[in-house]
Amino acid sequence: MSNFEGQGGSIYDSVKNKEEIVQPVAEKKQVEEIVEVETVESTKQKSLREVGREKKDFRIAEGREKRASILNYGRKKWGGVKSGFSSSVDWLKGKASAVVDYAFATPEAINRGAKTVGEAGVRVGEYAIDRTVAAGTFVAEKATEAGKAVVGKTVEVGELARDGARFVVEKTQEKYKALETRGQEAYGKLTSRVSAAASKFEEYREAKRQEKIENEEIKINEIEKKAIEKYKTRMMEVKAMRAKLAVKYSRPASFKDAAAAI
Amino acid sequence: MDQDLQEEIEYIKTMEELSDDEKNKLLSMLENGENPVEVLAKIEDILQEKIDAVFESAGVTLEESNPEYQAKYQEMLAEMQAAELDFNQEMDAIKIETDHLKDVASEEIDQVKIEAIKSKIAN
Repeated sequence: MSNFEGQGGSIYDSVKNKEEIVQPVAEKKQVEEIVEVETVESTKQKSLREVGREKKDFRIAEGREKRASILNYGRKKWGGVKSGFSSSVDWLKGKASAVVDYAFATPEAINRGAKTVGEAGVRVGEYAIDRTVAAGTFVAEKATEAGKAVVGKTVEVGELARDGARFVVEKTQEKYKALETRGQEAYGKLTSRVSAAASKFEEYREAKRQEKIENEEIKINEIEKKAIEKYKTRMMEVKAMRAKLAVKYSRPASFKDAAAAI
Repeated sequence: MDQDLQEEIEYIKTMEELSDDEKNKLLSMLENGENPVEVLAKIEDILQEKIDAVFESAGVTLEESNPEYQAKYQEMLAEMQAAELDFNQEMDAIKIETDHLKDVASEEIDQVKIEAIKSKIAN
């Protein structure tokens, strides 16, 4: 429009101007069409790029989610198996304890019974003639002796039962410990393999980036370089911290109690 | 409170690479009982995303449609799944052995009881 503004002079001039103007207008139209086409193309390209980026981001996020979910699942599963050891040992200890109690329970009852028989014998004797007194005392003594003998034997049985139960529990605990070591190794292997797979992919991405920077001679400014270095340094620090805490927090303990104090 | 957990909380609070919103989300995860190790892994992801974003803004984009890129990505997923499969198999085996061990020990305790009863009867 600016070509028409401020134009004056004869009709010829006007026509000439129009001819001159027609050409630029046609050219302009052509340029506009090209621009328009280019704009549409660039819009399409941008849109595709955006879709691609979203797709890529989704895929990367999916990979990270996968890693997190496997580790979370692994920790819970290992925690469940591990707590199975302690609950089994607790259950076994309870059962062993009941057996030992049973084995030791009888002497007390027999002891009480013998004492009762002895006392009864003495009482009967006190209320009878001398001969019966002697018989009563004799019965009391015999009953007490018999009681003591049974008590002694039962204590022996109880002690044997206790030793036997203790042996079973200790032997089983040792086997559980071996299984726990095996499980801990399996869990450690899971976490290291999953982390290694993720790191390997990130290393590949990093290498591809470097390749692209070199091939396409992309200049990364100092601010960007510093930002990348800063994130990378921090990343290494966090990785070291995670490795340090990995063993400790592989247990299925609830952190809610500890967290409640925050 | 657990000392390591407290240290992690303080560590997150002082991380200048994270926004307040990110810090709050991470601290909230810890408050809700999330495993501190997994929270640290989440921080690594956030930092990696920030690195990615800087490269993107500098014009260094990765072509996700590249077959090689896709193959590497699939390789990563396959290795994770294989690791998970191996882990599951080992955990299932351990679980079976745990149950078996419990049954055997239970029988042995029963045997101890039987022996005790026998000894008493012999009296």
